[in-house]
Amino acid sequence: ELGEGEVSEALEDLKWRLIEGEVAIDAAEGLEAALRDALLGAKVRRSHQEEDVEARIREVLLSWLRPLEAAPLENVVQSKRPYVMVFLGVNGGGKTTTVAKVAHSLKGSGLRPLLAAADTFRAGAIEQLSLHAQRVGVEVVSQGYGADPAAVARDAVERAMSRHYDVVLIDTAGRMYTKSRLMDELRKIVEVAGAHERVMIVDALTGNDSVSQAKEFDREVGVDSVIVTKADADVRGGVILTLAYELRRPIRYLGMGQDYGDLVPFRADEVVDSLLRPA
Amino acid sequence: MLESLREGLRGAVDKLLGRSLVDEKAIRDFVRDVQRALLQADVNVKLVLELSKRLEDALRNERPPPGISMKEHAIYVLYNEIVKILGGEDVKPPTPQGGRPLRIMLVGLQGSGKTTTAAKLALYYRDRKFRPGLVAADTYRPGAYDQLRQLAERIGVPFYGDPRERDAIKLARDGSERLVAEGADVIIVDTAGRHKNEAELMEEMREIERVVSPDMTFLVVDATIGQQAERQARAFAETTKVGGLIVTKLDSSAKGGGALTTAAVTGAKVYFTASGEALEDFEEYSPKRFAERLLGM
Ligand SMILES: Nc1nc2c(ncn2[C@@H]2O[C@H](COP(=O)(O)OP(=O)(O)OP(=O)(O)O)[C@@H](O)[C@H]2O)c(=O)[nH]1
Ligand SMILES: Nc1nc2c(ncn2[C@@H]2O[C@H](COP(=O)(O)OP(=O)(O)OP(=O)(O)O)[C@@H](O)[C@H]2O)c(=O)[nH]1
Ligand SMILES: [K+]
Ligand SMILES: [Mg+2]
Ligand SMILES: [Mg+2]
Repeated sequence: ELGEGEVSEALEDLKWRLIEGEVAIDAAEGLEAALRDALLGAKVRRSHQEEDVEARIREVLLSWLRPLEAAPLENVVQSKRPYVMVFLGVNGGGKTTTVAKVAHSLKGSGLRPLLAAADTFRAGAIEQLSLHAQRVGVEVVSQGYGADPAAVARDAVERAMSRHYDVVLIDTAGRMYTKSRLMDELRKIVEVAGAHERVMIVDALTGNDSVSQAKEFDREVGVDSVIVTKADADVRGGVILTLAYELRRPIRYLGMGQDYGDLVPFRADEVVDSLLRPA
Repeated sequence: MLESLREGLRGAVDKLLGRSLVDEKAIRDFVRDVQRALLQADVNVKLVLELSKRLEDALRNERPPPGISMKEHAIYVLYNEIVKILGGEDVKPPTPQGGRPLRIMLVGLQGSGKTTTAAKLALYYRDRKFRPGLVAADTYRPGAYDQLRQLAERIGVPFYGDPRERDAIKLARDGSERLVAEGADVIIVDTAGRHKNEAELMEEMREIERVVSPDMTFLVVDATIGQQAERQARAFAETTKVGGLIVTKLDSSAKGGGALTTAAVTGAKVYFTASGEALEDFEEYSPKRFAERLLGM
């Protein structure tokens, strides 16, 4: 049986490993508490104590992360026609690039996605999305800079209905959750578009700010799923554990690079391996 | 900057001040509270452990100078350690020297804010009666050329770019030369975002730096970056001569510990901070002023 001292020591070590692996401190402490309960009094073999403790930790981590594995998008989008997805998140996280990647993937499954250039604010945003669309070989709805983003979104949904597109992917301007006017604008886009899925984009390099991002976007607008981008940047994937603790929404994909094919489904066991890998 | 780091540290300090005596437990609690505040602020784990060890040693083994209480001494030690991370004395933004144009190059991770910051810098120099020019040398991200061109038009500064050119090194070289020939005295080169595992892009950045030979290579750091800041910063500093930092997105709730870590790893100082998307949301940074404010001193 594991005693208080042994458990504390193992958990202290794990907590530092997790924090180094980009897990936010609240989530690391939350997990520590959950693990304390799971480990105290647990039966382990004296001869294999470390292994057995690690296996227990793995189990608990998996029980947190497994529920975040999402059903394949190409199946989900069949439920509505058109299936409307709004991509949202803080500035520079990778929304526009991810819209292009998702369009590429849907197209590869034989579906017809339509993009909406609802970032009518940031310099170059429309050209960026249009160039992506050209390369991926899909259509974009745009009304130029300064247009009401909600009107662009509505326009795209109507076009998708009349021309029988399967999915509408709405690219929105990056915004800080600290700016209430911008959060209001986003809520309006979501409403007017009748979004079926609000996809939050989170940069894998984000530290403790991911906690505020998760809480604020969910509170102000609502979040149905998450895509974690830039997971190719030598990260351990701690942001995912933070999101599991703070938000508990399915994680659709991990962005693994700047090419269209660099989008992989989230697999709980792979992230657990990465988090527990020795430094 | 770092308002809430200050709050976290102040919390630790206030708790210490509230105690009647500084015993073993008080020291342990103080160190733990400081650790937590720094970790929540995204300061690198190794730095936090180093700092808290020095703090603990000082509190256990040093006698406060005469007339100074143990509590005051503890706060003083913490203050000094923070100042060390923050990088001491103030810096002045570079300006053209001896009639030679000033060459600036911006590098950093994807989406950290380089292109926006290039325009903010141009505006900063224009407001000080210099003649800045912007060079678009990101051939990688679709629309990067349009983004910088639109920003340059908005503030009315000369711009060089070519959306059909695929060679970023050539663009950087030709653009700098052209703008100098046209009379610009501050050349600002925007480059593509990249990270340490993208070997080809890291190599391209080294080449761009070679042909531009900038007086200042600014690493643009997103304030929301977490523990990865350390390794990424190291990779950038090993590939280019990172001379200064610009910290963006301070309008988030992030406390900027990743930027502090970057400063510690690269030895480069923070020159500017940005706290919004608007080109006016940009200011010079004073480490000293901040360090003094940090603990309310
Ligand atoms: N390495 C890597 N880079 C990525 C990934 N996803 C996006 N990027 C890059 O991140 C940068 C920002 O991406 P964008 O798609 O413009 O981000 P955004 O969220 O639309 O930005 P704003 O609209 O300005 O808020 C670009 O340079 C992208 O190429 C990824 O998975 N890996
Ligand atoms: N809220 C906020 N947004 C910022 C700030 N600085 C830049 N941005 C935004 O962050 C996003 C990314 O900025 P860019 O200038 O495109 O970043 P970049 O580093 O050039 O991106 P890549 O070229 O793709 O690597 C844009 O939406 C900017 O408007 C800031 O200080 N605060
Ligand atoms: K970012
Ligand atoms: Mg975008
Ligand atoms: Mg850029």
